[in-house]
Amino acid sequence: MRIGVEIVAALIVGVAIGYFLDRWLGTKPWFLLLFFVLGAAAGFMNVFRVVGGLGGQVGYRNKSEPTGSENGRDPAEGQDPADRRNGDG
Amino acid sequence: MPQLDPTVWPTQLFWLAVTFIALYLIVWRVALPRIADVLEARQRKLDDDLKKATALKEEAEQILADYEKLRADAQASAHEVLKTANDALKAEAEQQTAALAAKLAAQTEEAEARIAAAKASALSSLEGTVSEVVMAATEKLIGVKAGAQEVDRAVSDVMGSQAKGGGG
Amino acid sequence: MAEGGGAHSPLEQFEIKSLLTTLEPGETMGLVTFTNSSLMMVATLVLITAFLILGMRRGALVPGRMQSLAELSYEFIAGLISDTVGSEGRRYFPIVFTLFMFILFGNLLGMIPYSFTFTSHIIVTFALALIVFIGVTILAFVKHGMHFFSFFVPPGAPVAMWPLLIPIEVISYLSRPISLSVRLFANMLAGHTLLKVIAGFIGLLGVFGVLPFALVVALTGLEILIAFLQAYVFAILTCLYINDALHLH
Repeated sequence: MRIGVEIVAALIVGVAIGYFLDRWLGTKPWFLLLFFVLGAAAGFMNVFRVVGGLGGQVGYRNKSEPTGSENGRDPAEGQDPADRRNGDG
Repeated sequence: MPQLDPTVWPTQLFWLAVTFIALYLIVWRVALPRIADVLEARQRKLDDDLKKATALKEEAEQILADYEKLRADAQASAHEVLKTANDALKAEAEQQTAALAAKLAAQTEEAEARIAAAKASALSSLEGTVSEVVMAATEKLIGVKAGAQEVDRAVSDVMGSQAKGGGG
Repeated sequence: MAEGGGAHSPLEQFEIKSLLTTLEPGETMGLVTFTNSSLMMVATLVLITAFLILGMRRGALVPGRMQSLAELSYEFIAGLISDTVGSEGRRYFPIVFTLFMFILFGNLLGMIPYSFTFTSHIIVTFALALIVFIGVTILAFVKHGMHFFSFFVPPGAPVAMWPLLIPIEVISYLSRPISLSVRLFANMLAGHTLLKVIAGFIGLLGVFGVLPFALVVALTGLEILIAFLQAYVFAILTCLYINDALHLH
């Protein structure tokens, strides 16, 4: 689900930018096509970053940030800190 | 799809804004500070208790060390006392032994002196008896009554030389 | 979509209905109209407030149940922030906490039969995502000024590639509010629609209606898990975006 959403979101943004640029500049359908392609590329890059791959996420230069914690439907990856409850009342 | 009907958007946005901002203010001003206070108080108490526990532990260790020192000292002094007592007893024992030895030696000397005296008196009385016997014997043997002084002199000569030469 | 019998569409459950006033035909809803969605939002607000304030009423050093839960939620988000952002993230703790609790309780309240899930409307989730996106972008501008735009240049890329890479990075950045909102909205929409469709079969199949019924029970459990998960994902992505804005620019 997560991956699909990333692709779709990027596509939507790309197509929206393309569409409005076309309307403003009257250059249908070229910008639409161009930004559709760019949006698809951005979507795939997002997917790569989610899956923890190549270039690191947008701006993640240190590559020390958690990437595996964003994978769709797996139950919370043990991010439960400071568990010092001592029993129910 | 009802979600895409723009006429319903304004009301949702309005109520979202109202409730979200209200919630944010409540959380920011009331709820989070309260929770933070309790957590902080708990942490402080834990730290305090921990500090107190370490202080008490150190104190206990100190007391233990003092006790150990005291015990060692007592042991050492007890050792000392025993040693001095031991020495005193030994000295006294030696003293008494020496005294006893001296007493025994004195007694032995005295006894020896008495023996010598008795021997001397026995010898002298023996001389008289021997003189008498010699006078009687000469009288008997040769019918001469020798003079007592001559007999005494002869006897003491012989007895003297015999005493010197060996037992008579 | 398949119908469950009668003329009911499984999407009917998402309709916004005005509660206090009745609309004339042709009249559209006003700004302040109190709807089922508004009701759930207010209920969420009340429940969260009660949970937090009543839970901490005793304030004991050895916590009872409610207090443990309230403290748990606090520490969960605090840990999340310190793991992703670090100590500077402390100031953003209230907003992340509010977002998480609001979405969580909103999702969970929607699981009550006959209630309404206000997070299943794209406009609501989009508004929440926009709050995050605009907030984070403003934060980045305040912290880094114009240097903010260096964010879009991927490290180690040859300059010749920039005309290609920079638009892609920009699109990727702009897609954040979209993905954030669509993810939550789609999960809620799909979950509830599925439940409605399967539940529709229960009446149709007569005796064999136990199968869809069992499936509905299982799906309800799954949907409760997803309620938590989606709130968590929204919160952690917010933290990551805050981290982006503060560092790495």
